[in-house]
Amino acid sequence: MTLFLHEWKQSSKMLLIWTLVVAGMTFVFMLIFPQLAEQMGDMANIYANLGSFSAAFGMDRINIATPMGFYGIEAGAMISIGGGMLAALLGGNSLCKEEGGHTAELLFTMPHKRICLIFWKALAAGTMIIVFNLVCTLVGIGAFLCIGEEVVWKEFLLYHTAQLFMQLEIGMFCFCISALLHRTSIGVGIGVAMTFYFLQMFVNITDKAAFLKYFTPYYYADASNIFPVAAIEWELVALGMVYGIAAALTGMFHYARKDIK
Amino acid sequence: MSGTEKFAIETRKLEKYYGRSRGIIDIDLQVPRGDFFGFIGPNGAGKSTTIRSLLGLITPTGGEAFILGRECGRSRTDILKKVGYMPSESCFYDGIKVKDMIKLTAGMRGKDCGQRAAQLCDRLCLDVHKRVDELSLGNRKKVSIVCALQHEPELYILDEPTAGLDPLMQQEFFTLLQECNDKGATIFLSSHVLSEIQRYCKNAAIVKEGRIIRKGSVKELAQSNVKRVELTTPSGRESFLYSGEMSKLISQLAQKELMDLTITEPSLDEVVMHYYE
Repeated sequence: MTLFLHEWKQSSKMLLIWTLVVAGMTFVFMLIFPQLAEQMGDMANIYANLGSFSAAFGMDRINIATPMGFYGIEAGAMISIGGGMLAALLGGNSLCKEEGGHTAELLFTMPHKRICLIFWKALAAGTMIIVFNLVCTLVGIGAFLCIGEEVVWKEFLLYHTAQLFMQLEIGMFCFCISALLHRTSIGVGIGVAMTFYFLQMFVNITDKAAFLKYFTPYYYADASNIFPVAAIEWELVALGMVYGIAAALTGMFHYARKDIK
Repeated sequence: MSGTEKFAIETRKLEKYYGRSRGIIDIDLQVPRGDFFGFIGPNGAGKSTTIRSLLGLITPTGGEAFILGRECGRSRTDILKKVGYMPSESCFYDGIKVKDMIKLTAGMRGKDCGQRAAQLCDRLCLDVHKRVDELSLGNRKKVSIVCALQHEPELYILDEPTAGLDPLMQQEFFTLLQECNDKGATIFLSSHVLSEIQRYCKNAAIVKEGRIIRKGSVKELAQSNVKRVELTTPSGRESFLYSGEMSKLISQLAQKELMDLTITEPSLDEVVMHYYE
């Protein structure tokens, strides 16, 4: 528990900044929606008919001129990219920062099983991702209330649930990378998050890349796949969790045995 | 008490290879409980590798190691409860205050070490309100010392602990260690500063290129068969270390036109340097 609290203290500033930026931007986007909506009558049709460009961002499936559509496309991009990067940072930095900062010798000579210390670190990163998503969800609701628009609860909550799973999956992948590398793996982690994001764009653009939906968590967490049917493809979420947990466990057991440098 | 339990540290043919490169080879160590033991060697000799193997930071590729009668690896967690370790590098978390770092290590041990920690900080003149990354190397070493000593372990494993400490603090540090030793704790001190080994340690081992080349009491090591020979001839003065049969030395010296000759016991520094030549 001491390590859990220490991890929280260590990352609290980063978590606060990312949460403020992402949730704050989401809020600001939604505040300007009423003004944009007035001017967007015809623009929405144009956005929806830009071919691959519209498809890449899901604008061919949800209407950007509606509050939920705007939230899913504009604010959603902020949450999914920002959240994905934060998850990559939290997961990717978790273990390798000890070796990179030469604190591993101190930490891993404390009288605890190494696997326990790794578990507390993973738990700290996981709970930070949960808190980030909780704040973003509440700020999103607050934004809808501020502009006097109705939240379509089912879609809204499904979307945020999917975002949480997506970020946890990215976090677990990056945690594994962090365990495998000796020095900083932040760059690799962010690279992984961005790769997942672009894979989802390929899936949206062409049917030939449809198989990639089994590999990128951004697909099941994309608002344009959730809002039109008011449902999440749970089998993809489950598959993503299997990938993520397998990666995290691989990282944990590898790190529990590896030589600390 | 079984053989292994008599020793604070015991290793049998401990070996560590990093791929093909040598870490340590056939390290046989017996450090009795209550000893003040010096582990001597230059950088890269294998001192830290031995310590890291003992503490479970790295997995040995061969041999066995026991700490306080318990097998390293299998009983690692129980062993670490009774060990205070000071790494050679004093690195801490960014932005953390001294008092929080000390509290963190005590908390990780599930102990309230507040009183002892305050006592140590006072004796080492350590400002606990400063951030660790604002401290000089010497002051960071002091934080390391407090973290390693505050829980009053049975065994202290100290890897080059005095680097960066000023002479006054070095003296205070050794006084602290001496006090712990007097109370029955075992001190295992890795160092390449031979004067401190000679002054404070009872027993020592010399490690070279991953192997222990000499071990015994510090007195015995200093009184090895190595002699400092100083001679004056018409062509000038000569000084060298000699190890070998004394009769051969005498017969060789007899061929010279000696004006003056002294054969003395060398210092531990000189003896150790001789092994590395």
